[in-house]
Amino acid sequence: METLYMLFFSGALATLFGMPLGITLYMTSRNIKYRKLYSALDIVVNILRSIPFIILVLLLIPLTKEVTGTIIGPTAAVFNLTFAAIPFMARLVENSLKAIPQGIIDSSLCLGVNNREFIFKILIPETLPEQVNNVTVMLINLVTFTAIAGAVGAGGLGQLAINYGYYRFQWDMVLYSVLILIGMSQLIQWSGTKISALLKH
Amino acid sequence: MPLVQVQDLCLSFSDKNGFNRVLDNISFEVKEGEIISLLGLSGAGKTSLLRTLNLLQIPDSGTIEIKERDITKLTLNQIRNLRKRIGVVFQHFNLFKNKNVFENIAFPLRLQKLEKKEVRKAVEDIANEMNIQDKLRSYPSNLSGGEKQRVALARAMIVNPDLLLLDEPSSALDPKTKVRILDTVNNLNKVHNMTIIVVTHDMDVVKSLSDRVAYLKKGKLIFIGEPQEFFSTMGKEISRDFEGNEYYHTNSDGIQKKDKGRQSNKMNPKRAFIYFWGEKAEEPVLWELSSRHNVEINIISGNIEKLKHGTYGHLECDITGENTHIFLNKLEKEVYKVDVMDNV
Repeated sequence: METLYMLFFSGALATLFGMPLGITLYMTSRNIKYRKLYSALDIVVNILRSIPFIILVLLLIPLTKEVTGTIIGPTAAVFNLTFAAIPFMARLVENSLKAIPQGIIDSSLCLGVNNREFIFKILIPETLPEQVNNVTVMLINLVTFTAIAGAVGAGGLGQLAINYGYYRFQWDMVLYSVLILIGMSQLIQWSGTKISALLKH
Repeated sequence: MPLVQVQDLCLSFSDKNGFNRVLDNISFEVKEGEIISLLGLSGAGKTSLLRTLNLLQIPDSGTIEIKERDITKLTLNQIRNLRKRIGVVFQHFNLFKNKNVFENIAFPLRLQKLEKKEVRKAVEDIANEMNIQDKLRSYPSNLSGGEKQRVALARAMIVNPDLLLLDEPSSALDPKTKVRILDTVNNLNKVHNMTIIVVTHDMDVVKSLSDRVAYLKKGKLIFIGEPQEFFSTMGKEISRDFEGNEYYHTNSDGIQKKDKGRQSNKMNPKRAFIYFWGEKAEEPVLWELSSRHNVEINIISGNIEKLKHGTYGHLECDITGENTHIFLNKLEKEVYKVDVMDNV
């Protein structure tokens, strides 16, 4: 249950912040005026993505305490997970947007769209199936991350596997936890693929 | 006043290979209601020229006036509004793949925030005109090339633009579909008095659409005028460049040699290029004149074709006989144009 809680909230928050960040990356990369802003964002995203999650959790301890009031338990973990998933999500979103053919962009410009219309009426609808896939990939990544977070006191299946299985040699507990995690990943992937296919024309 | 007036337009790209001049001092004008073909080989700058007309490409220098307003000096917002008044159909149609045909066509109207009823009515009208009314619920991935082209045309036409730009409208279509699309374009021109600029390297497009032809070569506009004038002055070059035809006008040595024995007994033959235009192209002018003046005509090559405004023909032949001079003088008055080469 704690795993699901972590997954749901960090997934939702990462999508909520990662999408706009990805779109911002894309839009700033296209306009020479914003070259500097793009470079800055690009570097920040790269740095955050290159820190291993477990180290990130340690580095974030002061900030986590500030924001959630605690450094253990699922709520603290949601903050850490979200923080790690946002840059990842942003990069996925940006890559999908980059795959839009130049022709579609030309066409939109010729129809006289402004930036707002371009984002909401072209970019998002045209890449919707890909964006659903991106959320799927991100969620499955988060499943792994919750297990790691479990090792440092977040609760959930990861903690179960480590506390009962690894420290008390109850290998069946490890096995069950892993099976449930696998099942979750499969379910997420399956639904993601289904939804994406429904949206694709 | 012309609808579009382009004056001394220059455009260049610089890359690692250096400075590349794409458009070199281009000036021309487009009258309201005419179809003008921008013809040229790949890399001649024709697509770049088209893209500067709605400022997808900002020119280095020169002016572009549309409805007497210089568009090169507009602000970003004004450019957006200008673009809404210029319809564009791209070579690969560029339809929105996650919108169905109805939404694709309706898109420009949605930007104008029109009422739903009006949008529906406008889309249905244009879909009927384009003959895609039963495809409105389909998605672009399920359409054929010709259907996509029609949807793209409908999307460009729905705002009843001041100007329609077509980029290589035939290159992605099979020959039969091409003919139908060209008819549709001609119809749009007639019914809506639509001014159309069409970029192409396809001679069929030039022949069936153009009121005038503009010929671009290496960024320079080297000809602009009516198609019959174009074909009669640029014939050799276009035949070589666009039809890969080296034979026409150049490789007739074989025929000459074979005939030498017979011709050497008479006067030197004159090589003439005769161009026909309009009704004269369908009359036996040549035959009547040649029998009256008693000259012998040896035809080397020739053809005849329908252009938008009439029939055009050309003939390359050797003319022998005492009255060749008189014959050619008379002929010049009868046909569109005669070019004579002396030393065959």
